Amino acid sequence: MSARLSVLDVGHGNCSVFREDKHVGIIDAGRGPYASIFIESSGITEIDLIVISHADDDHLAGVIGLLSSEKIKVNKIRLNADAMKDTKIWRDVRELLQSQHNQGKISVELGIFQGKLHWSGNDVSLDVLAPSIYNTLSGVGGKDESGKAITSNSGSVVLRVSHKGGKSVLLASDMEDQTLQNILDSGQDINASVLVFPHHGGRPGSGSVEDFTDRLIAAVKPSIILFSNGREKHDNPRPEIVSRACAQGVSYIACTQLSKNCHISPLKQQPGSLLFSAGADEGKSCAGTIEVNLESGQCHGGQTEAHKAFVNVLSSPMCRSTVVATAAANEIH
Amino acid sequence: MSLAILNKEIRRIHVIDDDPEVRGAYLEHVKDMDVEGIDVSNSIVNIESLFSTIDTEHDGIICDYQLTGRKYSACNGDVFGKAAYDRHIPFILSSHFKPLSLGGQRRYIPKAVAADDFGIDAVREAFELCLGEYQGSFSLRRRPIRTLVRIEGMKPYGAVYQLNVVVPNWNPTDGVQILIDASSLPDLSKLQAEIEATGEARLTAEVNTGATDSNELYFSEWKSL
Amino acid sequence: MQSVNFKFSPRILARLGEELNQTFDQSILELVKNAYDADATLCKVELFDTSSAGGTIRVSDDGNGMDSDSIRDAWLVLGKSDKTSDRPTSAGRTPAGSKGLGRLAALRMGKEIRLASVKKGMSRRIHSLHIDWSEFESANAVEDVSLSIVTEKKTTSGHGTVVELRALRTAVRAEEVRKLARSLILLTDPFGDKSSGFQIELEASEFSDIERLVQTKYFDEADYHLSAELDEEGIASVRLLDWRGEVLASAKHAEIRRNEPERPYAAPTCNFDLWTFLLKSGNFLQGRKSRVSEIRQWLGHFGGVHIYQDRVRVAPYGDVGNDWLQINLSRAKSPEERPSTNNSIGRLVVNSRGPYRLTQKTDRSGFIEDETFVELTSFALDSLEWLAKWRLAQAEHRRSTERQQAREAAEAEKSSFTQALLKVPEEARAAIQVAFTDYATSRDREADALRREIQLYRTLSTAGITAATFAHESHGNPLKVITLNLKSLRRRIVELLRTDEQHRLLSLVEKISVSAGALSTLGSATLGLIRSEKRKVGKVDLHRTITSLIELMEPFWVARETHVELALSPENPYIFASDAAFESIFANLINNSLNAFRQAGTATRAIRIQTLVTRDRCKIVVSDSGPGIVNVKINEIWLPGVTSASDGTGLGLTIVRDTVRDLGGEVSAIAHGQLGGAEFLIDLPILGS
Repeated sequence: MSARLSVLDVGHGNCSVFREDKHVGIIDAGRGPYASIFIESSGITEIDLIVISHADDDHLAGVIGLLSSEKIKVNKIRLNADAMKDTKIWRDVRELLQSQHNQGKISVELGIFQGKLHWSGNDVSLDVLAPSIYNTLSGVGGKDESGKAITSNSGSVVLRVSHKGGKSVLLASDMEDQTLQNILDSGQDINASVLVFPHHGGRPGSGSVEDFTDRLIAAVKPSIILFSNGREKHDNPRPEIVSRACAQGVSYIACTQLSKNCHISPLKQQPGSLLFSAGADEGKSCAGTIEVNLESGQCHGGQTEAHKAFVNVLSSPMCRSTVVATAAANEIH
Repeated sequence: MSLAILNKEIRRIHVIDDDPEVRGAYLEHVKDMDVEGIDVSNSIVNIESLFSTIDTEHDGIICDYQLTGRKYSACNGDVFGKAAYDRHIPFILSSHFKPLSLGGQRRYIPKAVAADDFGIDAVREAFELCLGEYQGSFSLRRRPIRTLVRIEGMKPYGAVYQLNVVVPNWNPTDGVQILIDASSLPDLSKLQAEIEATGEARLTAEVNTGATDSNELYFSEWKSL
Repeated sequence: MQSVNFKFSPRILARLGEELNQTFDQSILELVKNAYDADATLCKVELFDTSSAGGTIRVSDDGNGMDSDSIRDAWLVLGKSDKTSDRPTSAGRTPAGSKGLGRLAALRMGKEIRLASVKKGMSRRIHSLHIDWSEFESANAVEDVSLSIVTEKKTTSGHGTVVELRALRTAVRAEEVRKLARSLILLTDPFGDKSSGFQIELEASEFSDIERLVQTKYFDEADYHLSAELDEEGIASVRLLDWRGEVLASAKHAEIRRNEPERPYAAPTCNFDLWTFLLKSGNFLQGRKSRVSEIRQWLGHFGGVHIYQDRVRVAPYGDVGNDWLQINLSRAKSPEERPSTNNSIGRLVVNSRGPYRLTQKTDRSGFIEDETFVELTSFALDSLEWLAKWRLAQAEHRRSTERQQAREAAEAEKSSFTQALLKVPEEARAAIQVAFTDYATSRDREADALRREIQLYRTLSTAGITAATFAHESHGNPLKVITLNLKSLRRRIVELLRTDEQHRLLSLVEKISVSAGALSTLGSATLGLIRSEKRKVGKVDLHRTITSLIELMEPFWVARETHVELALSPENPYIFASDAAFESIFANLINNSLNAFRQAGTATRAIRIQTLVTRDRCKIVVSDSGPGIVNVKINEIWLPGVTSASDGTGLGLTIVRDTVRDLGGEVSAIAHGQLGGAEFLIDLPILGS
C-alpha cells in the first residue's frame, strides 16, 4: 500500500490525512465528527502526528474531536504559539491533553516554522514552508520582516508533503499573498504536483483575487488543484479562482463539496461512489473525500472517473473545461 | 395495506396524545398512509400496559410530547420514546413547541418534529431512522461520538439540572441549554465546585456532532475527562 | 503433599496504604480515633520539625492501652477490625475507629514507627515495639520480617498508648496542619454544653489560634437560633429563638412538612440547630461584644451545617466549601432572608440506633445517599424553608409598617414645618409657604404617578401571567388540531379533485392557515418573551435580536396588512444586556405603531427599522406611516398613562424610555418622520461590532 494523502470532505474546513504504511499524520481536522469517523472507518487506531495550521476556533474544534475519541491514540501534536491565548477552547484542549497524558503518552510541541518536520516514515517527508522563524517569533499580531502585521491567516502553517519519488502535495491552509511573498523571499522550493488551494477557494486577504491565484499557481506549478470547501458557507470556490486555474493550464480541478454556482440544488450520488464524505448523505458533495497517491502524484483513477461523470450532469460546473482533459491522466492506485 | 420501511412492514400505527381531537387529526394522516390507525384513548397506566398492546414486528407509534395536561399519562412522550427505542419499535415524537430540547432522552428519539412539520414524509423518515438505529446503523446527523463538552453554568431543578453547555467540536461559539438527570452526571459535587470556582467544567459525552441543528443534539454516557 | 501458606510481598503494604488515598489529616485522625475508641480522655498530637521531611509526629493518649498480646493480636493485624459500630466501648462510646487499613496508611507516613503502651490495670508493665519499614523493603515477604515486642517494668502509674511516626517521608505543609486542626476540633462536639469527655490537644503553632476561636462561644451572638427536632416517630417540631433564648416562633410537623403533612420523616432521631448571623453593622444588638470580622472569620472556618453521628463529626458535611444542603443555592435564587454558609453555622446530631440508620461509605467520604439520608435532608431543608418563610413574613410586615410610618412621618414633618414657619418674620412667611406648597404638590404628583405606574405594572403582570399560563393551553391542542387537519385537508384536496376545482378549496385552506399562524404567534411570542434565558444578561447581538423578533411577530402584521422593512447596517453591533430588555424596546414601539394605524384607519401601513453603526454607538431609527404624534406634547409622550386610547395601557413608551436609559442610551421622538408618522431615534452605546 503506497503512501497516500486524503483531502477529506468535512464541509467548510480543512482536514488532510496522510498515511505511509502504519504511520498516520493529520493536518487540521475540520469541525464535527467527520475526521473521527473517517479515521475509525479506515481502521486507524494510532495517529503519529497532528499539525494544527492556525489556532482558529474552527481548526481547534476538530482536533478536540479527535482527542476526545477513546478509540484513537494520538502521539504528537504540533502547533504555533498564538494558540496560547487563554481562551475557553484553548483550555478545552489543555484539559484533554492533560487527561490523555495521564492515560498514555502524548507530546505537545509548540512552534512550527520553516524547515523539515520529523516524520517516522521513510518515503514521505514533511516540509514547513511558512511561517518563517522570524514570523513565528513575532507571533500573530506582531509584524513580519517587511513590517506588515501578521494575522492568524497569514501566519498559518503551509506544509508540503513530499514523496521521495519526487511528487508532492502542497497544503496551503489559509495563506495569503503576504505568506506567498515570505515563502518566495526565503528561496524555498514551493513546487508541488497537487495544490490544496488556500482559504477553501475563498477570498485570500484583501488584494486582487486573480493576481494572487496567478502568482500562486506560477510558483507552485501544480497539475492538480483541489478545493476543500463547504457548500453552505460563502461562495467557495470563487469562480474567478477556478477560471484563472483553468486558464493556467491546470489539468485537473476538484472540489470536495458541490458549489451552489455549479448546481443550484443539492444532488445525491450513487451510494458507494464516494469515499466517506460529510456532504454525501445530503447531496452536498462533489468529488467528496479526494485521495492522492503520493508516489504518482495523481488522484485515484476510479474516483476521478466518478467525479467526471458527476460533473457532466451538473448544470453549470466551473471546472468542466479541465475535467475533459484529465482522460489520460489516470493511474491505477 | 402496510408501509414498507427498510426490511419491515408497518401495518398499524398507534397514536398517543392527551387530546382526543388531536389524536383524531393524527389518525387522519395515518389513514392517508394506508395503514391501520390505533387510537390510544384510554389513559396510560404505565409503560408496560401501553406496550403490551403494541406489536414489535409490525407496529409504529406517533406520540405527542406534552401528555400530562390531563389525566391521560403520568409521563411525557419522551419517556415512551425511550421505551419504544428499547423495544425496537419505530417512533416519531411530535410537539407544538419549537425548539424541542429534550437533552435527556433525545438520544432515543431519532426524529422529533413540531406540528407544523408533521406529515407523512416526516413519519416515514422517522421510522427509517429508528429502524436503522436499531440495527446499529446511524445517520451522520444521529451518530453518537464521544467528545468534550464544556459546561458553563448549572442550575438545579429538583432531580434535573439545567446546563449551559458548549460542544466545541460541534460549534465552538454557540452554546445550548439542556436538561439532564442528576444521576447521569459523574462526580456532581466536584462539578458544581469547579463551576462555582472557575465558571467552567469539562466532561465528555456521546454527542451527535453531525447534527445540523441544536434541536437535534443529544447527550448521553457522560464521563469525567 | 506439601503444606504451604499465602505470603505477601512487602509491596502490598505500600499499595494498601497508598490506594486508600488518605490525606495527611485523615491519617492523623485515624490515630486520634483509635485513642477515642480506647476511651481516652486526653489525646495529644505533637509535630516536631515537620516543616521539612524527616520530622516526627507523636500521638499519645491516656486510654485503655494494650498489653503485648493485644498488640500482637489486634494492633498488628491489618485489615481486621475488632470494633464494630454496634458494641460500645466500656465508657459507652460508639467506636469511631477505622477498619484497619486507615491505620496502616497513617503508619506508613514515617519510615520508622515506635509504639509504646501500658494497659489499664497493668500499669507496672510497658510494652514497646519498633518497626523499621526499610526492613520490609529488602525482604521477600512481609511474613519474613520479624518484629519484637519488648516488655519492661515501669515504676510510675498511668496507662495509655504512644505512637511515634519518625523520619516522615515528606514535609507537612501549613494548610495540612490547619485542616488537621479544624478536623480535630470538630471531631468531638463543640456545640453542646456537656463535654463528651474527649479532649484533643495539638501542638503546632497554628493550633492555638483556631482552638481559641472554637472555645470562644459565638453562639449567643447569633441573631437567630433555629432549633428543630425529629422524634422517634419521625415527627418534627421547630422553634425559633433569639440570642437570649426567648422563643420568637414555633411550629409543628404539619407546618414544616408542607407537601406531605401526614407523612413522618423516615429518618433517625435527631436535633438540628442553626445559628444565623445578620452581620450588618447597623443590626448589631445592644451589648454585643465581638466584631463582625471575628465572627466572619469563625464562620469562614466553621460555617455550614455539620453532621454528628454518635457525637463524632462526619466529614465532609460542613467542611469548607461543602454545602450539602445547598443553602447557598437557595439563597442565590431568593436572597432575601435566607442563610448561607458564610453567615450561619449548624449542627445536625443523629443517632445510629433505632430503625432508621445512616450508613457511612467505606472510604469515609460521607453517608450513602439512600432513602434515609434523603429524608433527613428533607427534614433539614423543610425546617430552613419554614425559617425563611417566617422571616419573609416579618420583612413584609416591616415594609408595610415602614410605609405606614413613612406616611405618618410625612404628616409629622409637615406639621413641624408649619410650626417652624411661625418663627420666620411675617414678610418672608408667605413666600416660603408658597414655595413649600409648590414643592409638596409636585412631590405628591410624583408619588401619585409612581403609584399609578406600580398599579399598571401589577395589572400588566397579571395579564401577562394569565396569558402565559393559557398560552400553553390555547397554543397547544386547538392549534395542533387545526394545523394537522389542514395538512390532511390540503393533501386530500389535491388527491381527490381535479386541478381546476382544487383552487376554490385550497384558497380557503390558505386563509385558515394564515389565521392559525397568527394565533400561534401569540402563544409562542408570549412564551418566547418570558423565557428566563432571555432575562439573563449577556452578549446581545442587536441585529440578530431585531431580526428574530420581527420574524416571530410576522403573522401579526401580515394579518394587519402592514409592511415591515429592515434597513440594517452591515456591521454586527452588540451590547452587554439581556435579550428581554432589548426586545422590549422594539416590541413596544411596534405595538405602538400598530395601534396608531388601527385608531387612525391609516391607508398604507408601513414600519421601517434602520440602524447606523459608528465605532462605539448604534443609532436605531423606528419610523411608521401612521398619523404621527398629534394632540400630545412630544416631551409628555413618555409619561405613563398619557397617550393612547382608553383600551390601551399608555405604558409602552415609558417602558421604552426606561429600558433605553438602563442600557445607557437615549431615545427621542419626532412627530412626523420619514414615513410621515411618528419616528423614534434610539442612540445606544455598544461594546463592539
